[in-house]
Amino acid sequence: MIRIENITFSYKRNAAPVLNDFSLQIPTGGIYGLLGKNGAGKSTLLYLIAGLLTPSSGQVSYNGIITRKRKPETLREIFIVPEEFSLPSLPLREYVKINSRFYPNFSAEDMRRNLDTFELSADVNLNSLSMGQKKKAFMCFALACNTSLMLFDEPTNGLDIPGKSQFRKFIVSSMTDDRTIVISTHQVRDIDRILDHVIITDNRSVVLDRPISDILSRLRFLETDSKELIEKAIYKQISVRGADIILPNDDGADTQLNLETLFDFAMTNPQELQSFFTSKSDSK
Amino acid sequence: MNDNIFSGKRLLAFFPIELICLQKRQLLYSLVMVGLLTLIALITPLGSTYDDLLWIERIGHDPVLDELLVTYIILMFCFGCLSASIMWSEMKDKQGRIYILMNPATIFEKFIVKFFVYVVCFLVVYILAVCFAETVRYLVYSNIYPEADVTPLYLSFSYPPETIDQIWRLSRSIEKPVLFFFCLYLMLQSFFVLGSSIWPSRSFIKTFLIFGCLTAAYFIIGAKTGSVLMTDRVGDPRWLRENSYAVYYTFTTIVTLVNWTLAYFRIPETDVITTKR
Repeated sequence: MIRIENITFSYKRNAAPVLNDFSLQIPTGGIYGLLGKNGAGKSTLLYLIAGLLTPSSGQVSYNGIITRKRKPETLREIFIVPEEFSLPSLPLREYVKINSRFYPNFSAEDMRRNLDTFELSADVNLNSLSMGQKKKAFMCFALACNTSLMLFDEPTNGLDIPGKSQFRKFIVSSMTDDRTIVISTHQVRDIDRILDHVIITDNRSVVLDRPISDILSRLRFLETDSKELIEKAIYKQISVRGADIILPNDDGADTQLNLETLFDFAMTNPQELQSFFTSKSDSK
Repeated sequence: MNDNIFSGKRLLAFFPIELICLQKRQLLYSLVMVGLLTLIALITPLGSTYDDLLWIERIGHDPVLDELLVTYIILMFCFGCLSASIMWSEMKDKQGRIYILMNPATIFEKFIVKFFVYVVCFLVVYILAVCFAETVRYLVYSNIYPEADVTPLYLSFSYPPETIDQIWRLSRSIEKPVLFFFCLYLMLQSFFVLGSSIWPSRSFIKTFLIFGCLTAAYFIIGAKTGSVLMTDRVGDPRWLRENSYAVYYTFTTIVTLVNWTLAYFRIPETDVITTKR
């Protein structure tokens, strides 16, 4: 479990904190989407979880150990795929051989399967790959390390259209009950179908922290041109074919999550959104 | 031993990261060093150094060696400091910091590996580079001046003394200068080890400027203090004169160990993004 307890963090002494008395708990198991506007602190939060930044106050722990201490027992259970990274000029096979020694759960079989998913060869030289291909190669290695916590920062940036689909398949196929994946992204359409849980942050606090199943049991997402429905909507956004709307899901109808609309609703009227989850029994 | 403190297996696993992942850089620096040393070895005897055979016969050994030995020692200091200054250079950008900080080895293990590569292995590589430069010099100049006693540096020390007594006198005579310069070398280099952990980017220049100024200040203050202590008007400073070597070795050892320790403790304080709080 990830526990973020009352952390405050700022990059400069006199600047406004990026996160202010921020608390969050992420239980073990599941794919979590971390959404927020530019500058909301998503990447900062990922770095704090990984122990790469020191909060001004508060602490972040993973399975009871403060991640900032950067102990080997924690580091070998956390893998972060940052938005930008550099790889040495080596054959991929050599890179994997050198770095996999630090991860006791690394699986060569998983690595082969991941490479097949992304249509990459293990004999390729990392220097000869494009940025998107490097990202794929790095993500293959990341998942093959089988760490219990994976952090992705804008993972679909730089991936081509087939790559985004491969990424979704890749993430879902690697999930186990004791693995937690946190994905921070603006590209909500790339990941909305694979998420189990949504966390939306804004203004240094958590606006929404709910499982998808809970969201869909309380809210209904529609794209419609019916004026009647549009009038009843608690939130509407004009689209090409009428409007993307959100309605209360009083009758428990089947609905498909529109993460972009939900995000816009959270940014526009967070109190009203939160009221849907606090008025009824609050079970996560 | 607690796995979180030290693991020999992890220590050994970190060596390939340092040597193979950064092999291009290591190779480039080594080649530059070999090239420069070879160039200096070839340029130094230019002119009439080997033309005066009578003079060479009178002094009894290769006349260039004295000048070259001093040059090699000075360059060892320069390259040694440069090597230390790139010890943590991959931490100069965010991507490098993420890679190093997220690697599941302890800071101690990472520090030991980097110290071994950039301080210990550097010396071995430097000695090999000097041997190569000297070999090239010997091959070139022994063909140009076959009558001159052109000798590579590594062979000039190899003539065996005739008796055990001579061996003992030889080692005693060179002990103090070798130890003196080696302690000075380690101390100077330790400043650059520390500088590399504080300023991973442009470490050599920053360390040289800041510690150079500090060192100059220390020397001025130390010289002033020493001159006061050394006068007979203040107590009995004869102990300082008589024990000057011991004081020097103690001072350089302490400074070296302090710098290495500070460098080690600086790394865990590093964050992926520099904050100014």
